[in-house]
Amino acid sequence: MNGITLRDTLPVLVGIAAAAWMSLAVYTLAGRLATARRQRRLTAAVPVGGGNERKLIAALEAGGGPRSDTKRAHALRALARSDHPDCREFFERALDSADEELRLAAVAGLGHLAAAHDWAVDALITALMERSDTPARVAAQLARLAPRPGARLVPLLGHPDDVVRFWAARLIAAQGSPTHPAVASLTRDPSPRVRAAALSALRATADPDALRSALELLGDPAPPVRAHACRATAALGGVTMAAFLVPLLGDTSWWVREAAQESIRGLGPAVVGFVVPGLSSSDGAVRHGVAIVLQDLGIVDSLLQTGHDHKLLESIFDAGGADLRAAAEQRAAARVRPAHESTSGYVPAVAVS
Amino acid sequence: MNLGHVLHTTVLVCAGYLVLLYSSYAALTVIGVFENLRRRDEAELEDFETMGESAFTPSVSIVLAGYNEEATIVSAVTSLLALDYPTFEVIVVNDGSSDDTIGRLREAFDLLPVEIAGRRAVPTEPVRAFHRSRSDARLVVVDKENGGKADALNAGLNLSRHRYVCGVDADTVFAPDALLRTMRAFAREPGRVIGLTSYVEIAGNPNVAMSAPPGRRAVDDKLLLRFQCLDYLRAFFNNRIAWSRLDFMLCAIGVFQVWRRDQLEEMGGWSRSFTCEDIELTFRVHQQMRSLGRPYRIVCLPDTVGVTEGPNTMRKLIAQRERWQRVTLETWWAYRRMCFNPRYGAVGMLGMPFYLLSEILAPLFEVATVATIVAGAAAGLIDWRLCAWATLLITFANGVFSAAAVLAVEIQSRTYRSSASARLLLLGPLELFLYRPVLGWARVKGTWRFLRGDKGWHKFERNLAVKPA
Repeated sequence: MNGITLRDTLPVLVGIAAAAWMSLAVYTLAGRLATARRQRRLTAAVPVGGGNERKLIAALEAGGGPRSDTKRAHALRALARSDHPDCREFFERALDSADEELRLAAVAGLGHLAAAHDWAVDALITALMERSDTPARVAAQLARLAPRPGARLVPLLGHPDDVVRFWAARLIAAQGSPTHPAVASLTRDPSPRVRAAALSALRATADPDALRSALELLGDPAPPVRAHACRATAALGGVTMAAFLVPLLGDTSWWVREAAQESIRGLGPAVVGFVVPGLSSSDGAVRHGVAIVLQDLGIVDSLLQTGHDHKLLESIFDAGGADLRAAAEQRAAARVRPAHESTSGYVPAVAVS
Repeated sequence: MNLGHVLHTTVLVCAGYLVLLYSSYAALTVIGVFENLRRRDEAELEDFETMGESAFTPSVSIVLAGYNEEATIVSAVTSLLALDYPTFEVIVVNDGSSDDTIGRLREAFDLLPVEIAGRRAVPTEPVRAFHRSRSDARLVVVDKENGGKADALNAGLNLSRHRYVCGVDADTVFAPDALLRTMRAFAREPGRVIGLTSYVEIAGNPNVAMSAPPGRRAVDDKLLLRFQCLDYLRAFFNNRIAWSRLDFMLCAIGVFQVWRRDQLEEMGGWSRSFTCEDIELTFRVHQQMRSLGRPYRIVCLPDTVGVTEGPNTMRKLIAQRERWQRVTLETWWAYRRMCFNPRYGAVGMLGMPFYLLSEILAPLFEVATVATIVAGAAAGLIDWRLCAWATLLITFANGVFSAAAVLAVEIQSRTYRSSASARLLLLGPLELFLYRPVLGWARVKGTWRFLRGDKGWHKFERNLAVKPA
């Protein structure tokens, strides 16, 4: 080892490292003030007409580069918060930007502006139709504006891109108003995700054809469609539809079985008469599903507590298996309330999308 | 060859190793700074308000696997149920605990035994019972036979109903915005990002740490925990953030890991064949996706998602780090074919070699360095002045890396109060003398146990005592 060279070099390197450590430490502590200022600036609205506005416009008109794109995105956000009257052009330009950050900032800003400006709603709908890289973000903004986008979404149902048709159907479902007849036609769409989205939109409608479509789609080859068909059938047809849903408790897909259980359970204890025949089904999965539904509806606990209809209780236990019986006996032993009182807040599984 | 020649050669090799290691750290730190700034801008621009109330925000099944966690389980589950997120469920899996974990849960969340027909996406040990909470319908508890953490996570996976599955640990208290802030990565690139992890703070008592708002948070009084805090900051803000940027995020940590459910199921869930499930799954996902040539990303975010409990005694720390060393060796060795293999892109050419350098070979060089100093001193061949300068250089280099990590957390979230940041900054240079020797010993121990085929978890007791019922 060349000790002489190292002896000369090491102290210099130590000096550099020590200086770097001290500088970083001082910068870190002093920088805390800058961080606080930055936070205040980011959350403040920019008053229109001031010098700040000119700075924002200048930032938006500045040239490319990743840092200037970020600055432009911040400027867009500030302009949207200030509800600047001449900002439309900047937002429309930003939607076409190659920079993802800028596009997302434009979508968020338009969502903010759309509360007061129809042009912003239109710009979001156009973005959903023409720029499909952030459809969920655009859809989230449009869903917030419900029911304003309403009829303006209908032309999207016939769009050649299935992503657009899917989001249009989901957004129409989120509008909370009676569904447009055009949605019903999407239940025959070639894309399974569009058929599923159409079914979720149809749940809000009073159209008798919707129930017919939902019943037909209980036999759809795609499991997500069958799952949505279960939910739509229950929502549209009510208690009497439980009989149509019972066979799906034995579906090959767990997601469909879960959706069928959840849909029947959602109809409440009045479905008992329609589901009990399922206990004698030749399909073990159907029998098991029925037993679980009866457990979740509190029927098992009621029968155990009252001692009525011992035969029905035994057939539920036979269908549900040892675990269902053990759980029921544990609940009874702990003198718990009937399950239908406690599971009223049961949250169903989200849509399979 | 005389002793002098041997020592001379050893010193040269060790010095070369150190230069290579510290150069890698320096490069990663610089990349980490830029990535950290980018993520800060991204978070500042994110429309969390819309994300937090939209039905279109990706839904999440949170799976908490717990074994003998009676001391911490209730606070962990309470913090999860308090998450500010539109659609999620919490699945707690009691992995055959021998303590009163299930009793604590029953008492705190008013559990009701029920039968549930879960999927059988991944085989697991038998389930004893399912419970639903009467106080919060989003909570399901699975009580199963002991099968290890991976098996417990798989049992949760079989019940999960949402598109994303988030595995968490029971010794952690989560920030209310943990999911909202991190799920933005999936929302931004839904087709590409398949896994993520994020920064987790460390404290002796996570409940106390979380009770202080960000910006007012102190660091623990115990020196050992302060050093661990610094260690975590460096590991995340200097290294993992940079790995993420370079597309070789090699460990989505068990404390907080989010995966796309279909991907997890395709992989067969978490593996029971390894001592630790998190690092192995990340390696396996990389291997599979790269082999199949599918586009994907596993990301690490700098957002603080919660506070986890750190070992508060030397004995516990050594037990933990010894296990980490073993599992790293075990996993790296199992996937060694990826190393220096261009087929695996950045993972094979950067990530695996970096692990080799910083984790696998480290104990060897640590032992060699100590042995050289001892032998050199005994033979009177040590140039003590040179040795002191070299030590000082490493000391301040560590100080620089630590300061960069503290600066990074300041840039990102300004978590700590000024006095806490100052303490951490001062500790940076001291860790070579007060903390690294402990880790060095744990690594050597872990390597030895790995070579002997030890696959035990060696769980140590929690810092927090169980409160009386």
